[in-house]
Amino acid sequence: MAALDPPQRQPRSAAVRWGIGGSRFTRIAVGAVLPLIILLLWQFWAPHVFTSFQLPSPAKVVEGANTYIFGPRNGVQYSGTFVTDLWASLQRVIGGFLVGALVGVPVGLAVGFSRMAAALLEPMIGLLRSVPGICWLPLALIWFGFGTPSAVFLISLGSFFPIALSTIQGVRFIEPNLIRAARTLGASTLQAVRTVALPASIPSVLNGLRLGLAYSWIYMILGEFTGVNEGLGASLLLARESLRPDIIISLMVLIGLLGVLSDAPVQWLLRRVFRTDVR
Amino acid sequence: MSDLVRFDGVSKEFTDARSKNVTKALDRLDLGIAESQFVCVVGPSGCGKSTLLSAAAGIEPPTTGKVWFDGEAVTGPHHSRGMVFQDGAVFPWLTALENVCYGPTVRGMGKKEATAKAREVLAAVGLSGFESHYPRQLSGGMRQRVAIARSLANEPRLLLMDEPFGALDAQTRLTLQDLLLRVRESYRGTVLFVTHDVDEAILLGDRVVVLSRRPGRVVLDLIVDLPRPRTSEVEMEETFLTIKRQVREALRGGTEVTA
Repeated sequence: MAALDPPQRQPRSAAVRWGIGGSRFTRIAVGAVLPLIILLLWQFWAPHVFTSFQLPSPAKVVEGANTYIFGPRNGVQYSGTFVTDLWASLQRVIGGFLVGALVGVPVGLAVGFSRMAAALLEPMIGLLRSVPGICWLPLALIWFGFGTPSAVFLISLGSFFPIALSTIQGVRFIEPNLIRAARTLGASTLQAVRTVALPASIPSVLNGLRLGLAYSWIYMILGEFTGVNEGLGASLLLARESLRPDIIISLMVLIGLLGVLSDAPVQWLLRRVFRTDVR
Repeated sequence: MSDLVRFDGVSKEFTDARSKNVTKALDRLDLGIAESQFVCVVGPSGCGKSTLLSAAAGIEPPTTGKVWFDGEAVTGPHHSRGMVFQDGAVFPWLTALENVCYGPTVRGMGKKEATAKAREVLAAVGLSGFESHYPRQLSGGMRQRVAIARSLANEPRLLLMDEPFGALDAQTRLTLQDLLLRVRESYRGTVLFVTHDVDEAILLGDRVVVLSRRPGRVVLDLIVDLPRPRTSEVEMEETFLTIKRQVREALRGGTEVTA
């Protein structure tokens, strides 16, 4: 899963802070120690504890992943179907995230700026937010049936809250002197909102979008557990029934990697925005 | 000559939202400021100096009393009453030039004209060559220069300055005081400058007003009879030292707890 900490307060690593920790190479080597130990335990100790079905060997998993990603598309299950799954999941993530963002940002701005909108919407948002996203699954199935619409619904719901809440915070915590300065420079209230309050809240909006995208990945998996045919989450669930633990583990690793990858462009955008900022 | 700005029995009370405690920042303050005068207000912290400026700027109306500007009651902010904040409040997402363009642009001046004006003002505060820098790329002193330039670009009749050098280190502070003295030679508007630094007040002002401890009232009102153009050299002169003694005295008296 993508890291969720806001980028403007990225703490310096302990090594940098205390001036210890040696070269870049040393640090990478130290970071590799634990994964290596786990890999060794998995290879040599796990066979004594688990059956090869419960936990297949690393080599078996790599082989499974290789077939899943690069194998020929010859109709054999899990042979070369990664691209199809990825495409199906990606469509759902993008669709759900877009809905969540297109509703979440305007709602967040409205609640942040208008006391009326806050009085109207905030209690409702607070109430709905306390219902865990998973609880929506049965109702989503009744409303939208098994398949993509249910998944998109769950994803938009999951991404809506972090996006809306972060936007609200962003608008509420705008430095009041910025608005005052704009007003004494001759801006009307409306001009101050458009030219100062909106740009000042962009960093929090972007942070909310970043969180929303991370949540979209989580809810994508959940949404695909509703029994769709294609998709990373669907294949993950099906792999158990097909008795393919190697594919389960491959998919877990792949989904994690994709979460990190999808965060990169958003982070880049954030860094660009924050570069012009005092923080 | 009638005053450009008049504070007429201005009181300001703040009510704490939770404890309902009422704090009186200003108590029936009367003060008149003539056109083109540079008035420095000094007083102990918390005496309502900033409240005075907010009332004049129209961003924080007084509880009772009125502020008059050019014969009309102040009811809200206006570009003819510019304000420089202690933290500068420059817009971090705009470059120095764009920051200075903000006032003229928002009032409907064309982009070309506004840019020309902004370049001129930035040059006047010594920031030529930094037009395309973002605030975070500038030092604290330079950011404050941008804030001053941004207000001056509007050519306000009244410039309100709320401890504009209060957050700067001593060296930068001296540089900016010199700069303000130089700018003063070409900008002839009225200035109301709040500070807690007595030397700064006498160096910059045509007139020094001392406020008492909260609730603030005027306890001393002096004309600074030092020739302009001034430099920090005047701080050695007898006139300066005499005024400084008087202000110190007033401040000491003003800080006494009065029942």
